Amino acid sequence: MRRVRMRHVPVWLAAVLMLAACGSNTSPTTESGGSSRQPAGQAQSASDGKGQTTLVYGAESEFDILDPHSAGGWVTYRINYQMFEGLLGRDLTKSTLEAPAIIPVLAERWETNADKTVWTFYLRRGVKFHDGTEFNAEAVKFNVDRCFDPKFEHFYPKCQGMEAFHYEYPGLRKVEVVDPYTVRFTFGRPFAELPWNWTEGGMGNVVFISPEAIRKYGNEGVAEHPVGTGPFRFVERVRGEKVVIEKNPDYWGSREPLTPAKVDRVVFRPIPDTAARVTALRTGAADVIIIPPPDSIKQLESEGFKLVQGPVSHRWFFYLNLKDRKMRDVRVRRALYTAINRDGIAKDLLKDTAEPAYGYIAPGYPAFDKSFRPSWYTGYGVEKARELLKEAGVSEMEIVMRGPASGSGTILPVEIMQWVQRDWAKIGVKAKIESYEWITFLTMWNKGLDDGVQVQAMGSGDAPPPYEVWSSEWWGPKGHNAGYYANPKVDELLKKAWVEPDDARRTGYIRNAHEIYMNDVAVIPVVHDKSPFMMSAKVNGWAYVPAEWFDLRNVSVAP
Amino acid sequence: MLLLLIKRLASALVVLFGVSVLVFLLIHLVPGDVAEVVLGPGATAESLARLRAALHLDDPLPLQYLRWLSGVANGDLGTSIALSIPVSQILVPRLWNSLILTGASLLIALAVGLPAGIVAAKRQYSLFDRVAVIGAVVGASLPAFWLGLVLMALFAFHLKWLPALGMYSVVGDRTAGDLLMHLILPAVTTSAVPMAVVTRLVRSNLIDVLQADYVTALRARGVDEWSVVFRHGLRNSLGSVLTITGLQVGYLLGGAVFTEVIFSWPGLGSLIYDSIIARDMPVVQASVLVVGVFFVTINLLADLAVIVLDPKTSA
Repeated sequence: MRRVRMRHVPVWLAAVLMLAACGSNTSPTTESGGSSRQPAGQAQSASDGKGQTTLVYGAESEFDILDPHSAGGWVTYRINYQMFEGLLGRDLTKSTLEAPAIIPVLAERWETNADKTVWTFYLRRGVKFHDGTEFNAEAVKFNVDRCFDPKFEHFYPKCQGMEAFHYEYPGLRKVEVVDPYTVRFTFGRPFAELPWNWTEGGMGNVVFISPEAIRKYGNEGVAEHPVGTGPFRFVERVRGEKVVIEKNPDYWGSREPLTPAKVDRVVFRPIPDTAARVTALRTGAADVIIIPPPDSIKQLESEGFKLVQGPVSHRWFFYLNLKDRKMRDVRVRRALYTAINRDGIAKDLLKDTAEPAYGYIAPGYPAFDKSFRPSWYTGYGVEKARELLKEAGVSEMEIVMRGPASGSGTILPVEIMQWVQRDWAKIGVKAKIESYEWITFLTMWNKGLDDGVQVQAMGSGDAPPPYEVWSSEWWGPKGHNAGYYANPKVDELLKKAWVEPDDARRTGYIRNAHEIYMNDVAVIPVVHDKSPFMMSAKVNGWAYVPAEWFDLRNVSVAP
Repeated sequence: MLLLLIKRLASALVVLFGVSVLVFLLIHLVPGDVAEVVLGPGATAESLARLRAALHLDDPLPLQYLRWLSGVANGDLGTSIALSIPVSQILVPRLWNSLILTGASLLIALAVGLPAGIVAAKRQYSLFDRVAVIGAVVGASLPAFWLGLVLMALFAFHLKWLPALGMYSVVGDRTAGDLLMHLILPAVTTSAVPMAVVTRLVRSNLIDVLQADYVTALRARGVDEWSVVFRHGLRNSLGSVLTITGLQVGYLLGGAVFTEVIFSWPGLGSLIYDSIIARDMPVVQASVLVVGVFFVTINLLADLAVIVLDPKTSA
């Protein structure tokens, strides 16, 4: 038998590799961006041949429950948001850097008493649910009782148990049908923040499901048959593959910003892997993707894809354990704050998909002030930070930094923690990183910072409202004030804010409380996420608003 | 044969029981409160307690396990904690999707691995043999997530021959042709390791068999080479290949999670992964049980096939 000499093998292998490399130089871009030739087996996403336009959205994970009263995650809220509406909403149809305006939706107008304990809503007439039944005051009461009244026939304990319920209906005493189109809510405590809380997508359960659908399918079954009043209605769901919604042809709205949808269908498909999401966009398997890897954005833009991003109501930050003796000196906390190179994290690590954060209040919240800096802060600096430590009598320190390995709103948590670890090492603070799987981490976070853990990373939106974190009433466990911050002045200002009927004065109280909170360095904000969306050049009308949600009614897809 | 079958079935039941107990204990050992996962970390103590009671999470572990086992015996796989729907409603479609992917991967692995192993054995030390051996090592070493992304980049993005991900196109009718196009890349990705294993095993077994005295005797009696290789040689070397292939099915059915995530293939592997993350214990339990049942059944069939091929092994 003839033997092949081993030295010939590398020659053959090299030839094969060269042939493969030649084949990979094909550039797929066209003037309009994206693929120039449709991939085999992939139908046109823009038009399905029946004259319908379709938008395909690549989501970062599978969806859970299409019942807005019991859905667990923001990924699913983005779908529910298109099908369900509340009495009021936020205008997400126009690009803006300001907090989006609160607008009447299913209520034409509303009024409240002096101490904000009673809210009366005058409902829009002629609105129908997707199943043709009428939206009215009875439907509102039905939906609220579903989550509120244990004696109600269709009471749903899971809804009442949801964390969001307590931010939506704090101290709710009763909900009354005054007449067929007037409904009144009475709270046991002032609820000045009602318009903001009820329109925060992360607490998206103050929207209305068709009572008839709940009666027909039951509390659990209605999630398989979601029926709302929104510009889109449910078509089908194939678990693990897609959720399809279509334009509601009978949508009640006709005037901006509440107009019917432009695109005929939207397909939400879960694509958990980030590289696969990018490939989906490039091959036309998706028209829009969320959270592309930061490193891919420049390349995609050069290929003609569009980036829509901007700071949203989110912050990535560190809690500081104020019970720990190492964190008690404010000069130490200020040193840690000063030593973080936020610009480096935002630009070099996250490739401009985030922006530096100096305060806890995030863009999109009415009290947000882009120019805010703590009054003692004079800018990033290693020497400045060392000086602060020296003043505190600290030359070296070892601390424990805990955080999630991944998770909702945490961007790239391990990478950011490693960056900060390096920054702090420059000033003599040695941080040992402990990272945990998301649910395990959440359980730990919920208990409040453990002894021996000085610093804990977290990413959060504005659900609950940001100032819940500042109040001593919200100490861990079971509170968002996981670092045990307590300042009576801040508590007093927050109590005033809760009952203040005037929006401007309320904003003033919150800003004052925020200033004290940040001067105390209760937490160390690092960046605000910009929630990047990458989309085909065929997609038009996608608005940037400082919110974690979007309204698809004005989005269209060119053929 | 019947006695053998009974013995194997009995041991299969013991294995399934052991696996179900182990998984049950492990999922309960993982930190994280499932009630907080469902209601949100800020839920009140009362609502958490109410949900835990409704889900029997506060019962002693043996009682929880027996309740679940009793349900399974009556055909009830329980209700998903995260999605509040019967587990069977989630699991059955995903199982079917995984069976399609597993079947296709196995078919590719055998269709390539068997002939490659045979030719490599017949032409030992030839160029083909060297390429087959190196190829098998490379195939077994390549991580599925890397291979999947490379294949996707090449065939879906650069060449545009195949779709990038999913089981079907999201727009248009779900035809068999559409499914086939979507199946190719994930199936090739998942077939890499079994293909490598089959190639090497067939090659080494056949080399041994073709060097046996009886094969020399067959050739000396003038039996044609085709019959020597296929009728006598291959038949006597397939025993361990069948056994290993049976084990590979278990790996493919529940372990192809990387492929499923990369290609957004809605199969059992990604379901198990998502359910562990969500602490959705009924779904994890049922999924692992189903994988176990298939694993045990297929391995039993493989063992029976080995006996048919070589009756000596039943002794």
